[in-house]
Amino acid sequence: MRDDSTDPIIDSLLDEVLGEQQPPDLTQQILRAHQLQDKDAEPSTAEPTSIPPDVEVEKRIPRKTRVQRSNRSRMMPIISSLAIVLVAGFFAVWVWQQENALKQANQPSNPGVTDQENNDAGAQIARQPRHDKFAGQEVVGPLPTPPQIADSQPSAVPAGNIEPRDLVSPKFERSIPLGEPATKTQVVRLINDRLKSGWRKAQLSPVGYVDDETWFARAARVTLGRPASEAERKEFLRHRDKEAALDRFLTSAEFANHWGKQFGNILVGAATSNAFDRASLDSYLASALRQNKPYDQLAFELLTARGGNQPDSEQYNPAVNFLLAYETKLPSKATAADKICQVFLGKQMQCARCHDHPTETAITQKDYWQIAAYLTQMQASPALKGTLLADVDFAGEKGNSPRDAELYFERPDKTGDVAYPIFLDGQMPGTNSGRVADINRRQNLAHAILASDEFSLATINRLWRKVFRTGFTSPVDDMGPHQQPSHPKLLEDLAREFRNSQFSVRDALQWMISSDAFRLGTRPSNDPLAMQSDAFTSFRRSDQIYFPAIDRPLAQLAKAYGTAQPFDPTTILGNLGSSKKMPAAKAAKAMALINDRHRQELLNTRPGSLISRLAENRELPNDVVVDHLFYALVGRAPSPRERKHGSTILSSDRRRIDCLLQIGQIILSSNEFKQQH
Amino acid sequence: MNPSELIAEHQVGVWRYLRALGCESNEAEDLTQETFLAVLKRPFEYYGKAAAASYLRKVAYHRFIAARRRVSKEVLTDEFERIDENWSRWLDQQRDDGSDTVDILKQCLEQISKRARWALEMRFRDRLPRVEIAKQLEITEHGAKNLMQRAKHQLRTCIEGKMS
Repeated sequence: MRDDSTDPIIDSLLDEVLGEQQPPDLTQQILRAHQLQDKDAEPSTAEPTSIPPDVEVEKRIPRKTRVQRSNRSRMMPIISSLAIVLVAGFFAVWVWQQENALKQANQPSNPGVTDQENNDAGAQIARQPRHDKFAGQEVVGPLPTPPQIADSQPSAVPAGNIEPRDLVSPKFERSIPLGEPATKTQVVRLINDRLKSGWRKAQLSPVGYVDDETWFARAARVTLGRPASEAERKEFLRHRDKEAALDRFLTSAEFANHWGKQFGNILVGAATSNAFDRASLDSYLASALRQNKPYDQLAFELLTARGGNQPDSEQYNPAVNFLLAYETKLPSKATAADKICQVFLGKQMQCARCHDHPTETAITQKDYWQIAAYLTQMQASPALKGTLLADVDFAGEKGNSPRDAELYFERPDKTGDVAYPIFLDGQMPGTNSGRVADINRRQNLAHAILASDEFSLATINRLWRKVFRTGFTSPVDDMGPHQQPSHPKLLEDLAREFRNSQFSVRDALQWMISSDAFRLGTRPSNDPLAMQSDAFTSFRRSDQIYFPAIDRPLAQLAKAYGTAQPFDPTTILGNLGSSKKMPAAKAAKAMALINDRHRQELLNTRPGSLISRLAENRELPNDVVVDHLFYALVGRAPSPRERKHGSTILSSDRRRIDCLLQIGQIILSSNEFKQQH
Repeated sequence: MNPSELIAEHQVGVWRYLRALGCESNEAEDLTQETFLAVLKRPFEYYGKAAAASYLRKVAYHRFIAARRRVSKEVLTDEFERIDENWSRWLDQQRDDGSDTVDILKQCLEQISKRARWALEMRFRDRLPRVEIAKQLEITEHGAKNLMQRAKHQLRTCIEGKMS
């Protein structure tokens, strides 16, 4: 760029117009280079097809270089010789340093020890020389001996430079054998039998089952995230085919969208990074659920994702948005490791970041950092559009040992230790190299997770909690010997069947919702233990559909319409669920929400619309009009109080259509409506 | 769309874009080639001229930044992002390879003062240093710099006016 340029665009255009720097025709040159590129990519047995033998293909030499070559020709031999001598010298010094480090690392404490005893000593606790980060301190801890690998060229890509090949995600291949899947009836019977056996042992007696209509309403809320509409309810009650109804729910786009958001909340709900695109992630999850993608495949894609995070990014891959939510600039990638273990293994590993796990004693601080070491190749880079996530070579924390790429961490006693990728069950990738060409650490971690028992156990635990509002353990992401599941045998059986069903989330939900447990009643029981369960209270509450947020503002509106005072809707809206008047800014925002297109469509007053038909029909009693409005907007009957207030409002001497609009706006501003939409 | 058609249709746009980012002509040619080779490494799905042009500009931008980083570790991308946004905005209003912008510039050059035009011709056509331009115009070097900057500003205003 010119050093006096303040406007490079104008400069470049002036160069073209005044300086006659016309755009060159590079077509033939690019095509030749492309053909060469294709030829290099083909197997050696492929016949050359496109380059005539008499055409000499040369790489284009920039003009600057051509001009400089003539000036440098005399000096070249001298410069080349000096360069070779310098490079050889540096290489010799580097090799000498490496050999010294290796000798010190392998030196036994007792000089008289044999080779075999040396190897055994390597497996025991041994004191090792210190590295610079912890100068004056000692590293305590066994250092695994890396297996010998063939010498390979150092990576041509310096850390921080992402090439297009680094953005291609690995392909999923299931590596664990699956058993014969059981039928849905068999699994549901298994759930029923196991639960009954558990109740018998605990001497609990459930209160009986709810009717089909209540079951249907529950199933809609769990699968679709909203109450069933009046039309859906009527349709179900005509045939009462639970299996068909559930199937319809689970194969609908609405289910996929709702559960996609639920998964998104689990994956990134608490994340504070600005580098990820939540909408893309939700859309990707919804699409996976719509296709009933096997959950292990989904997990693999999330754990190994590479690419751009926004639709107009290079190599767009929405799955990257999971890890991007936790990507930090630290090599340790601690927060990403925490989330991975929490979501996919049901383990609160972050407790072991600074010391051995306080409750799950089998997990040490070193275990934690060995998991974090799997993520050291992961790198995020800002791009023109969005952020790119890739795997690049990791040369160790000191940056000079790609073949033995270590991670360091500090123990509570301030001594240092080193960590390489080792999974919780002790399995290792087979090399400590940090080069992606030697081992993709994230892919290795993904395979280890998917093959572990914890993966399917944690998933079933989480799904159970989503359906029944209580998991086999509480919390669901803190599983381990320190926390016994409520029904351990059932959990194991379901985890096994989940695996055998090829990790089908849809099947797992079908089993749970079809079980007897899902249609248990919520009448108050004489059994205090039964009434304490989370499932009881949450089902009871949702069955009654108690939403005070509409009732209160309707009461205020009814009171306002009973006086001659002018009506200010913001005071009513501002009091949704609160006794204080809403500040003006928030009220304005509430009004803006009301005025959005979706809501306007629901409340439009065109001839033939719901509002206009209800306004014109003077034969319908007011309470029936209120019923119609509630069913149309939130899919349920109004409570007695809501019906009463609505009728009062319609009985006032204000215009009927205005009254209907006001009631409608209150309903549309409620949390109930927002939750449904 | 086959590779030769793609290249024929878009190479001028990519080259002009790279020049706008600040590449010298040779560097722009090299990076244009790199851009197409990168894009043609995998099957290219054509969604229309504008989409293809936009995609090619993105790839060219990455190539440009990577080339800059090979020279200097610290590369401030704010300026380049601003240029990219400006160029994309102009291209929304005309043909995608920048030809219309060139034509509009030619019209705007007729509207600036002869003295300013002469200064720009000495700078861009004759490649004279600022000292020499100042001597020809019988002004100080600083004065010559101001004159050319004001002229460029007028040209930009004129171009944006004609585009809108």
